[in-house]
Amino acid sequence: MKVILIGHGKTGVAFKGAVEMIYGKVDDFLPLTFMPGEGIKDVETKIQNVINDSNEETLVITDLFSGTPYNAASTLALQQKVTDVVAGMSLPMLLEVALNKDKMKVADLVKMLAQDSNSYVRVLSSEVEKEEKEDDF
Amino acid sequence: MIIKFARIDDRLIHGQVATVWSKQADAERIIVVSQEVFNNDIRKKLLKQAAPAGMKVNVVDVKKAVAVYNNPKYADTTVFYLFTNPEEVLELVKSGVPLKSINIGGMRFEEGKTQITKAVSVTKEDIAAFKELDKLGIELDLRVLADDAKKDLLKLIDQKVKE
Repeated sequence: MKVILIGHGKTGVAFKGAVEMIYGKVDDFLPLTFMPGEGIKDVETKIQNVINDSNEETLVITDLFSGTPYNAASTLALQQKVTDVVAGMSLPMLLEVALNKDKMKVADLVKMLAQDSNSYVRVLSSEVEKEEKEDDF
Repeated sequence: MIIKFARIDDRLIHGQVATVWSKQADAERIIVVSQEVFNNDIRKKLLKQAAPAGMKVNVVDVKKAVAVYNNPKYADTTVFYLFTNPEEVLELVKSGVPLKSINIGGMRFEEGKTQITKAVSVTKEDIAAFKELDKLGIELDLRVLADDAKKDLLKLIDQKVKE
């Protein structure tokens, strides 16, 4: 599976760096940029350039639902050029992808991400409350 | 108690441990074995709330760790041990908790320590403890990230300490 990371500005590049601090090398994570002045066609072209001549499944992970990177990737997905598109890029999400990309199909992986997404946001005060109810040795 | 994994990392539960290593370990509980943390209520509280999804975190000293290991109530519990130093690993092993391997992931540099790798610095006491663990047949697995190659800790120590 190929994983393309593209958000507004250079977030895709920065996120790949963050994943590598924790997980280690992820050579099949391909980061792209979307800079001020660029439009949906530019993004489509960038994505197409990295998926060219590949029969591998491709998952595009973007930062914002309905943002330009998401819309560009969705256009390609509807033409069956990429397998699926996810919005809401975050470090916990990308680590889940890194841990599972070699053993899962895109269809199953995206289902899992959607299911687990509520655990990506955690609040200290409620964690502490929850922890106090848990049993100890 | 079924020991799935044991690691020395003085950052304890942080990004690498909370995500990758805890998945690899595939254990029900993370047991932090550290007298220092055991005596510090704030650190204890922070660690317990940092439990990765589906795991429980306990903070104990060596004495309690041994008692829990021998408690039949936890015979089937799978655990991931976390330590901050090799002395406490050695103490636990000598008290009869059979570790096969200890992963060395992070021991931060402080004044008076010898830096062995980017992530691992040791005191004389640490070196002695590692040598004793090695003599007891426990694998010393020097790796920060799960997909790093395992390095020979004692060989690196010998090189650095001679210099």
